[in-house]
Amino acid sequence: MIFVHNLTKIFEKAAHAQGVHALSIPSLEVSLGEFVALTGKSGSGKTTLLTILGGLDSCYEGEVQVGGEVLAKLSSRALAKFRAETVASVFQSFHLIPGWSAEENVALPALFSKTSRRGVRPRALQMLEAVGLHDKAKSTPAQLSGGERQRIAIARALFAGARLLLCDEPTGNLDTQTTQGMVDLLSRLNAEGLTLVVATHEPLLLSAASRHLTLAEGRLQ
Amino acid sequence: MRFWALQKLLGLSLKRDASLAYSSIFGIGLATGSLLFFLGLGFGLTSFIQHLFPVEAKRVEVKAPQWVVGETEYKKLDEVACTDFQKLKHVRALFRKMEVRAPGITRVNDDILGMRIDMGLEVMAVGVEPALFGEDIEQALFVEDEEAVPAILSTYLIDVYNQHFAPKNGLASLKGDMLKGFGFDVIFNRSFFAGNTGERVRQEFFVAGFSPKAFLAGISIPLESAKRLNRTLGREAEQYSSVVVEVDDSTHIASVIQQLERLGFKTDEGERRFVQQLGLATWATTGALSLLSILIGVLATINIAQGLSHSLHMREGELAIFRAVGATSAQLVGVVVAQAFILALAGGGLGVLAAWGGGYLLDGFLFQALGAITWLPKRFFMLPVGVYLGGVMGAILAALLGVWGPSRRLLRRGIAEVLAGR
Ligand SMILES: Nc1ncnc2c1ncn2[C@@H]1O[C@H](COP(=O)(O)OP(=O)(O)O)[C@@H](O)[C@H]1O
Ligand SMILES: [Mg+2]
Repeated sequence: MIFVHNLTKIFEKAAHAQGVHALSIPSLEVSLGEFVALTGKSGSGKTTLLTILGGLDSCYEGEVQVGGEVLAKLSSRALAKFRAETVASVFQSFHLIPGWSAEENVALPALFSKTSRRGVRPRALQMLEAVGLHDKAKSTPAQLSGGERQRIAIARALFAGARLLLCDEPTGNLDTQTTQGMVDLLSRLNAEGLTLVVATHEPLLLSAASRHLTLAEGRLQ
Repeated sequence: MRFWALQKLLGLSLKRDASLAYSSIFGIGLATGSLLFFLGLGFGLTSFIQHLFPVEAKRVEVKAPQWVVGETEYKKLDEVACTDFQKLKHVRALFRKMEVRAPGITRVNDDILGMRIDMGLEVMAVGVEPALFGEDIEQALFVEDEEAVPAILSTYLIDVYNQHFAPKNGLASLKGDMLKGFGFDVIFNRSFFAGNTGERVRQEFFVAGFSPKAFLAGISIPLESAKRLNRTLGREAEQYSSVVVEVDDSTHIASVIQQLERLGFKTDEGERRFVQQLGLATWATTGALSLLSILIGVLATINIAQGLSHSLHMREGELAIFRAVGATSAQLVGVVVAQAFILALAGGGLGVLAAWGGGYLLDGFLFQALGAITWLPKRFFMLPVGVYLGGVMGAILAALLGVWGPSRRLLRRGIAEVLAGR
């Protein structure tokens, strides 16, 4: 599913001659169906790695292959298609559209695809069902709790049918009970065949994962 | 992108930036509206000037030579001269005019429109070729007739009468055709100012019509009638008072004037120049005002660009999410452009309505202020449909220009960077 070779990422800073050496990964492989937990101190490069894998950042050295695609070789159009169909990214802040209902938010990817309008609603409801929020379809983000918003964000990420889900600290802002719910959800999605890479410190999530990776100053331990 | 999706995204961004949308529509509307309004006024005034001073660009009038002290000979403006004129390059037609070369008075003592009118009037008559009036008059009536000579009155005369004479003297105002057919006698060789100038000759006339081209200070009669009267009165009946020369194309007018001067004739260019200057002044003013409108348009465009730039900056996170879930650059630019297009269309439409409404109000105001003058144009504000369309197109073009910069900047920043909030 994921194949990384000699990846280095340096953030150039205009002021300093020396940039920040954010990532340096000689080799990394993630197979289909794995549930990988990515740990490491704050600033160790977890978010940076996830954005590169998600096709959201193309400024790096080395080879990154996801779902059979060599990302550096994709045109901007093909990269958009990759983001739409192959990979799903869930960010720390959920970035939902305030005035829209849960259902509309979940269906956001449909606006940029060739989906016909008829299939959109059933698919959105199906996704909401999958994250256990089918009764909140009409609620706007303001009417939902933090955990529910996080689930909406996951439902939106999965709307287009991606096989790889990248989650950045999904339980960061949740209380214990909601955290347990999130762990259950991710475990179930993994059991249904979704490949997961999750950046987290949450012990419950770590114990649910099938593999642990630890980053320290951009290097895998 | 599907249409329903575009619709949804447009709804989102228009709602999000409602104030930007309103100010953009207002700015574009103001610019388009004022531009169209001033252009409409320019077109209207120009056509009014042409209507008011019907010296057509294709005609020039050759006046009979004046006696010049010290000169023994002068060019006669007679048939020989006319034959010469006819031979000039670019000359298409001649219209001869001949004054009746004796003063005359008319004594009106009659019931006119239920009023007893009793007054004496000094009358000057000029004979003209019927074709000069064209369709202004009923050509069949305008033929020499010894019994009763047809007379054409100036349209303006009626207005002067209605505006000044009638109200002051407590008389009813006239409507053009009421006077048609009205007969009157003129006794020539008799004048209030000059006394008797020869043997009196009486001639009957009747009002045959009205034209703005008619002699203002008297009556216009058929050329043949003027010739006959001059013969009867023992006056010069071979030389014309003036000849209107019509050229085939207005661009040749200068060359024809030159040729006429080379032949030794003076042309009366005063009125032509006056009208040209009036027209120039109108367009200079229109141009200045239009420039002002274009400036407003430029400001509106900058306003859109800045507003859009700001709004895109505010919505950067949202747009990054759009891209993260698979939106292509082209799709996002498409939404921005569509948004600008809609604002421009609304603003341009508003401008068209405003200009049209403004013109309508202006017309109403002017017509009320100027009252019953019959020679007013139908409208002071005139704008071809094409110019309206052009205004809307211009608004759209300006708006697209305004989104060009911001939409390019939109895609320059990396998604990851934006989402990380850096
Ligand atoms: N856009 C950026 N510009 C400069 N430095 C950055 C940028 N993004 C991340 N970094 C730096 O890269 C390193 C890794 O950051 P990040 O991947 O966010 O770590 P983590 O997610 O593990 O906390 C940090 O030192 C951070 O300061
Ligand atoms: Mg992070």
